[in-house]
Amino acid sequence: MVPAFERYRAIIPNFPLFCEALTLPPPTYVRVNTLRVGRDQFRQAMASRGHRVTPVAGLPEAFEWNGGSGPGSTLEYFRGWYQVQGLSSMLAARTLGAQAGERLLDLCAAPGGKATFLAQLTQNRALIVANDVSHRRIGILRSHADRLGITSIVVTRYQGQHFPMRIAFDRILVDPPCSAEGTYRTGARRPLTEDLDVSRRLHRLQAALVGHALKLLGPGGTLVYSTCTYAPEENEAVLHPIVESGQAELIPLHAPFPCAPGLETWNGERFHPSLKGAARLYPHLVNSWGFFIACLRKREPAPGDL
Amino acid sequence: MHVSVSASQHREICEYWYERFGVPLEALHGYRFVIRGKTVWAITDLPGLDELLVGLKIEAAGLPFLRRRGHAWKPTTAALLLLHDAVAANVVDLPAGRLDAFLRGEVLSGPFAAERGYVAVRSDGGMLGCGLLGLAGLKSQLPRPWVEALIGGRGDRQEDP
Repeated sequence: MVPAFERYRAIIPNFPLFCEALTLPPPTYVRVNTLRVGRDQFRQAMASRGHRVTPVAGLPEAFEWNGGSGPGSTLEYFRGWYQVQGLSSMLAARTLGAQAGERLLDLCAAPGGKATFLAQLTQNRALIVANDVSHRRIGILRSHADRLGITSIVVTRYQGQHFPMRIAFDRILVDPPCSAEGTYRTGARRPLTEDLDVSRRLHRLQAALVGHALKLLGPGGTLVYSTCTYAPEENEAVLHPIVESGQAELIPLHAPFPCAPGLETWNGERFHPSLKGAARLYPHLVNSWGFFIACLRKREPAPGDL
Repeated sequence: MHVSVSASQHREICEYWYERFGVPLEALHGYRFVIRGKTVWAITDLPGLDELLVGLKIEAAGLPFLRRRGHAWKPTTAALLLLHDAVAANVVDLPAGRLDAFLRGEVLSGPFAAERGYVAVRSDGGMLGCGLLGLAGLKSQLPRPWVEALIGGRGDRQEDP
């Protein structure tokens, strides 16, 4: 048992199964790049090279990678036929509902799995700004985008909470720095939340990022907030003031695989009831990384606001 | 700063791809070419693009397409992979069993049915990327990190969770 997770005993369904899942190595998933290759052609090509890939129900682009050499060391990977990416991360990008012709912002984009998926989902026909503050991680994002044949991404390097206000976006994805508890599986680093001050500090940054993102969003625009942590301080507690104040409403999320609803209470704190429409992804329910995903719609100005 | 190329530069870029690699003009439709330093980038030309190019400090705009080498253009591997089906001239198909040597950076002796200079290299029927064909033979111009991932068996660095 990981001590930092003991505090989640009451909120994670089937907690013993959750703990057991943490002891198992996570499967590897890849996302076929349909800008380059069809799903069937991909499957056949990989099979002919001795790599068995199994489709994942509910996410048409997702395949589980079963055996053979590592997924990053094939000619097909080199040619941009697929990207290695967790199911939960794919779901976060899909949830944004991006459409061709729109202007999108991925505020904390590196290493680029979600931003490149957005480009794929819009057939390279939406203008996507992929922003990240880290020069090193932007290099990784650019390498992936080049390999995958992405021609619709503009890369910027602003601090997310200071991203210029000159441009309004139709949809924004905010996947901020987090304590990354969801990536804790066998062999992974220990959760940062062993020190609870970490979550509190991250909460302030996350609140600043999502608050600024709302200002960058056009009226009626969609914002997806996701993290790879279970910590309510970094999830529901970040979104509660936004929903409570009426700046945005939460759109219930219908995930294609089993997940738990967002929390309504935590440590005596009550959250806005609509937050149960968010999704908590646990590794014993969906065998990938732990995640939190919420979809918000920015409020349209009422006639009296003008 | 990334700046859109002039009409004459746009024409020059299209002519280069046609004359060197047989890429028809239609394959380049829909892209805006922007330039910063010695690199030309190709980005999908969509309404609102100018606002982004002017309004933001940009690190990269679309896909690196060509690089200036002295007075010559060098195609990027990313561009050759993007245009793979449209590339029809100065293509070198690696002989069977020579891929590993090419990836290791060895100079492969020919003959190869292509003009000297930058060429499109294919392996196993699929595009691989850029090579340089000189007097001594053919040498890889593929991005080093990509090759290291391929032959090192370690994937291309960090992935999303």
